[in-house]
Amino acid sequence: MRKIAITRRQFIKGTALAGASAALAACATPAPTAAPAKKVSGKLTYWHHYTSESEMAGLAEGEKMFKAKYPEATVESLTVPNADFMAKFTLAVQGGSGKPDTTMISADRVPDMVGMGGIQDLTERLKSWDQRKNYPDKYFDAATVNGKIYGVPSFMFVDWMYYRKDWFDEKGLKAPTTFDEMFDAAVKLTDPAKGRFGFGMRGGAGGQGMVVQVIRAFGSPIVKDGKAALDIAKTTEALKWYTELHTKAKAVPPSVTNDSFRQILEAFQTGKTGMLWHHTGSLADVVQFLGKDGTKFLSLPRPKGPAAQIADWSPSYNGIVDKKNEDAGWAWLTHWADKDTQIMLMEKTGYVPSNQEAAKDERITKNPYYTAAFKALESGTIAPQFPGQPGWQSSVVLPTFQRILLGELTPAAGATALAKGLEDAIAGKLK
Amino acid sequence: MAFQNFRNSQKAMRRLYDAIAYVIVACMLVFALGPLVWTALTSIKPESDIVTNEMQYIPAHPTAEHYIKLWNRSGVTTMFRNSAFTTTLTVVLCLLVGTFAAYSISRYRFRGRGGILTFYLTIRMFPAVLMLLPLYIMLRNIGLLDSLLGLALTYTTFSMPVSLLMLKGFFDAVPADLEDAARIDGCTRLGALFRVVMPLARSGIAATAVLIAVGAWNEFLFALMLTNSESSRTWPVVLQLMVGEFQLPWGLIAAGGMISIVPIIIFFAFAQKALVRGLMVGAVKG
Amino acid sequence: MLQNALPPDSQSSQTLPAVRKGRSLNPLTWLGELSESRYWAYLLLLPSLLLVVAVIVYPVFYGVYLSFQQFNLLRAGLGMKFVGLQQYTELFADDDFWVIIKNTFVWVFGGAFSQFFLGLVVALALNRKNLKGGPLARVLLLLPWVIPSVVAGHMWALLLDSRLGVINDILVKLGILTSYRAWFADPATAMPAVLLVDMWRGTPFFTLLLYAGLQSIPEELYEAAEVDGASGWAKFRAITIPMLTPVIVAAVILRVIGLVNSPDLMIVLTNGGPGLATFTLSLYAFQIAYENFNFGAAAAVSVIMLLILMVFTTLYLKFSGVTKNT
Repeated sequence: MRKIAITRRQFIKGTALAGASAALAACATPAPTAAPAKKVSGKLTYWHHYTSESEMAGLAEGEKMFKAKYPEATVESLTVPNADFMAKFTLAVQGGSGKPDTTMISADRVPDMVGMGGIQDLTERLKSWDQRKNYPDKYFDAATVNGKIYGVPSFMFVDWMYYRKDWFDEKGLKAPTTFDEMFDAAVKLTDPAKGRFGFGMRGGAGGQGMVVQVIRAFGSPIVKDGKAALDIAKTTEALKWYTELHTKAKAVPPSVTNDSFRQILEAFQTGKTGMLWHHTGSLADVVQFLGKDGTKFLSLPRPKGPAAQIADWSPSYNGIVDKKNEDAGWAWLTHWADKDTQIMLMEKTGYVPSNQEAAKDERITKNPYYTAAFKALESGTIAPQFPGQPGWQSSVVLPTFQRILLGELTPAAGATALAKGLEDAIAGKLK
Repeated sequence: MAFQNFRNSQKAMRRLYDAIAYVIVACMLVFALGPLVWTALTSIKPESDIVTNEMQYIPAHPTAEHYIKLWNRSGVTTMFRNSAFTTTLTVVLCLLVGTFAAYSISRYRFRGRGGILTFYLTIRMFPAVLMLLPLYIMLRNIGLLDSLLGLALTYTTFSMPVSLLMLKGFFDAVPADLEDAARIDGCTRLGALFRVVMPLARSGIAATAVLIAVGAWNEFLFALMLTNSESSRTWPVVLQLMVGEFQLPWGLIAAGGMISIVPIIIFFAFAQKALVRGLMVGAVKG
Repeated sequence: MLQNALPPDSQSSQTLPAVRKGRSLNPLTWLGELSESRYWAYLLLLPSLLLVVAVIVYPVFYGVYLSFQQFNLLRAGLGMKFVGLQQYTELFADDDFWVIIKNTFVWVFGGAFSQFFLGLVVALALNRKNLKGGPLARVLLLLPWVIPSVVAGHMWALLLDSRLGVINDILVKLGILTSYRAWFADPATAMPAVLLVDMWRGTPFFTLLLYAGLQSIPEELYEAAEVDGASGWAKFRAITIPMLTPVIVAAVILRVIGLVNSPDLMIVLTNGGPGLATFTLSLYAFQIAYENFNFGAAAAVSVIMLLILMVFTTLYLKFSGVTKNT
């Protein structure tokens, strides 16, 4: 017997179509919302890090829709693996040739890409953009450096958590809303005899972001006025609480120091962990294994820390790299900010639209998971941004965090190491 | 009688050694092929049978879906062809240039002879990570950025010192007397190289060719960084691109792995023929 | 074959007859004539030299130059600033750097030694005369090396996975383990596990080269030794090892270079973790350059890697005596 009856694609179709199916026809041949101000033609190159089948299908459909709007323009898109994206982008910018006209920009890379002079200022163009009204100002925060805006939002990821409803019911626990409740639940759900662990902590690649979130939830700032501002005492507290889930409570799988996204997802999918922190981007994969009827798992906003509730949302932007065909580039950028394009992408991939008009669509308002995402978004926070931030997180925060998990460092020593690394990162001297 | 005993014990020893050889080869085959067999099995399992609590040794629901998906990905055939072209060009260039240089170092005693080999090797040792940017700029300047030729030239340069070192070792093993004899018969130096030395060093040249081919076929970093369009990307890039941000399609990667073995096996079948022929030459000589 | 027609007792190269007159001057003949000139040795080297100088020399010197600069791509406005040896002294003062150096040594020498040893044993076994299925076994044994490292890395991550790993399952079924282990999560087992994966991938390289080397040892040498009543071990020591030395040296050097320079397996399997347990210099250089964009420091790490390799190669060549003219 195949355990999984529906495939990922079927699910996406199923959820997306729950509600209005008529709109599908509408978005297949969209009418331009406003007459293009300038002639859009010629070849346009676009770099992105879509890889999966569903993402590629969304991109292909988006290209088709663009072609329908602007028949004289052609888009040549190129996949650049996410892990190698910055290296490749750096070479193209520094090497003086082979730059794309436009590119996808994940929020955390904006300062770095601006720092190396890789992306163009869009502030002026945004002022006269007819869709600007559909985007709250805060949607541009992560794309803003020194008051200038460098990106147009497309889809976004909203942080939340998943938990095993059935396990919680079994133990008579209620869904956690605070860090303390979460710790408590993690301990109670853990049952080594059954191979169950309360929390699927991400201690491998990519886990750094969550560590910084916990630090912020304990009330420590990261940067202030461009200077390192880590509060050692609060950071120590945060590291202590978070790592003790493993070192003291043994409520996370022993593989934690090697568990990156793939492992924590598989652990949750195969019923080894009771809670999981991630964002909306993984919903389809979780549903594929645990079903969407809400009996096995549910999603929930991240719990409140002692000082703050931290649940980041990170928009994915598109920006212009090379100005040589700027008008076509701008048309492409705004095409992905369009309601119809975003709903189409959501149908293919499950990624949450950022356009407010799209958010009002029935296909979103009637889907409990997406309403949860938008609820999380209301109190959503943005990760601190500064040039060198991704480097600090991956080359300082992650190894330090792992060493605390392994017992090689105390939380206090770890906090000091993080502060030192942060200063180096801001000075551009990080190794 | 003593001689007879000696013969017998030698025979026994030989049998013992043969038995040991079989055991070693068998163990090694298990070690080498085990993971590949698992890859093959994974490639025909649906994803839900891979990410599961019950280990499945025999695929319960065999499927070709991963191979079909792989085949339907855009640009797969182009990239496969690009890889084949780049690899072939690299092997040819590398053997040509490498053979000349190796022959020179192997046969002549000139000033700086020891130095040149060390120089090539040293240069080869510099980490590729830091060469990317200057290399990128240089290829741009000569107009070979984003081209298979540029990629093949880069690979040739990087594997040339390697093949040089290997070939020199194999040429050293060819007795100089044979060559001298050919030259007395009216061969030029060049003729002797092609007609005497190279046929004799055939097995070595084949081994070197395999070495270069595998390196070029599997290279990923340069292939990704020095090309900017789908049309000049190679197979390892396709494989890397399957690793998604939010999912790891085990079946697809396994299928990709199985497919990437095929051309190398074909290539090796040819090289193996050359190897065997090289051995026969040796046998006739003996 | 040509060489069979040759007289077995040929003369030395000093007494070459200069007898190539009256031939038509086509390019091949011209090349042939040229091959008799005293510039021939250099002419043969020219193509390779051109290639190396054109493609690699400049980047290397640029890298060395960069290592004395302060240069961060994200601070392009600041440009380059000469800082002398500061990049190096800062590295040497960092405790983590020495952990990384130590890891690199374990990784490189552990990897090269285990793979060479296993490769030699297998090559010797394959070299037994009349080994049934030899040609097939040779191809099959090469396969691990043929698999692209992306696939190899991920497949081994699956094989050794702490939840889905078949190796864990087998070990549990055999009673060797009581429960699945997370091999890459424990600093005590992470490096050995990565070394095992690299052994799987790197051993065929040695097998191929050493087997080719064994094949080129003339059979007569062994026959002569047998007539003298030499034992198997004596033949191995007196003939096999000395005759194989150039190939061994070449193979070891190449593998060591490969191990020092390529971070690809680590990137997939451990990303240097847990903590710094599998963090090596190549990973470090990549991280500094393309995550922190600190090109000055990355260049310094690269130069250090180059120096380590140069010292190793020089010493190794010297002690093995291959560069001596025989």
